[in-house]
Amino acid sequence: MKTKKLTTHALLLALALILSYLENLVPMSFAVPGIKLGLPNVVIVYALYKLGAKSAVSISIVRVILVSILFGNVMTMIYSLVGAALALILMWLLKKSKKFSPVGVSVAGALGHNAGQIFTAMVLLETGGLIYYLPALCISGAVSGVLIGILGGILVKRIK
Amino acid sequence: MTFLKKHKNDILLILAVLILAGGFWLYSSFAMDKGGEAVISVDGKELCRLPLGVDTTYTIGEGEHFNSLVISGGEAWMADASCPDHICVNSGKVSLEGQSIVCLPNKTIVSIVGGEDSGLDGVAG
Repeated sequence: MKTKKLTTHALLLALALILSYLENLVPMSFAVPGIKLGLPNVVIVYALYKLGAKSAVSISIVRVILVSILFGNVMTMIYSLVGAALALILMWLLKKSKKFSPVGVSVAGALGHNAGQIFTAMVLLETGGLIYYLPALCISGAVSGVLIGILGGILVKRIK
Repeated sequence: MTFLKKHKNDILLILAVLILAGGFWLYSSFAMDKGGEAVISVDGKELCRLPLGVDTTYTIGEGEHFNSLVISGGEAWMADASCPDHICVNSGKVSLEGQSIVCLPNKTIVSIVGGEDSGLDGVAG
């Protein structure tokens, strides 16, 4: 059983990494600076529902560290880690409340990522003006969160 | 109906987010005045202030890490930058108080503040 668990986690981590890479290939920031589709969150939503919170946390954190090493730098690692942590907390809380479907959970995750990164940037760069990016990021987060949530929901239902 | 019932909380959450974001956006677009100065800061430290009334091109940093800021017609924008994502260049033009252009890779921020220059328009007019 232990080997199976390890393999499942490794497989999901690899999938999340590939989705992060794909996301980096398609720049979405022509409309609003910094917006992303959040494709890797499909994997995190799936892990949260199928394997539990611990697995979702470990896959998400390791993914962020690896992606920052591969495509980013130390700064992006700090932003992404705070964003991922806030997203995981929000998703876990919403899932635990049992009042939301994967769509709501995924929207909360997208908002957590955005808000976490904006607030980290506000603190690190000491610029309150960044808060003006938040509305646009909230709207894009809601849209991509719904799409990712629908996808995640289907996967949770279909893949045993 | 079953769809609405099943996703009632999801829909409420999304609506709440959209209304809050829309409200904040409306508020900020109405409450913001035209700015007078562009404050350039790198790594959290203020580098210099440029009046928006004077057309100029200013290059922040040199060598491998640079951002090229253009001020013209009371608006400021990044014309070019060394960062890989070019998010700052794609941010477009800023002119209102509180707006900013951010380049995270170069830790550079250009933010618009009120400044005394905004009074010049009144004098000129």
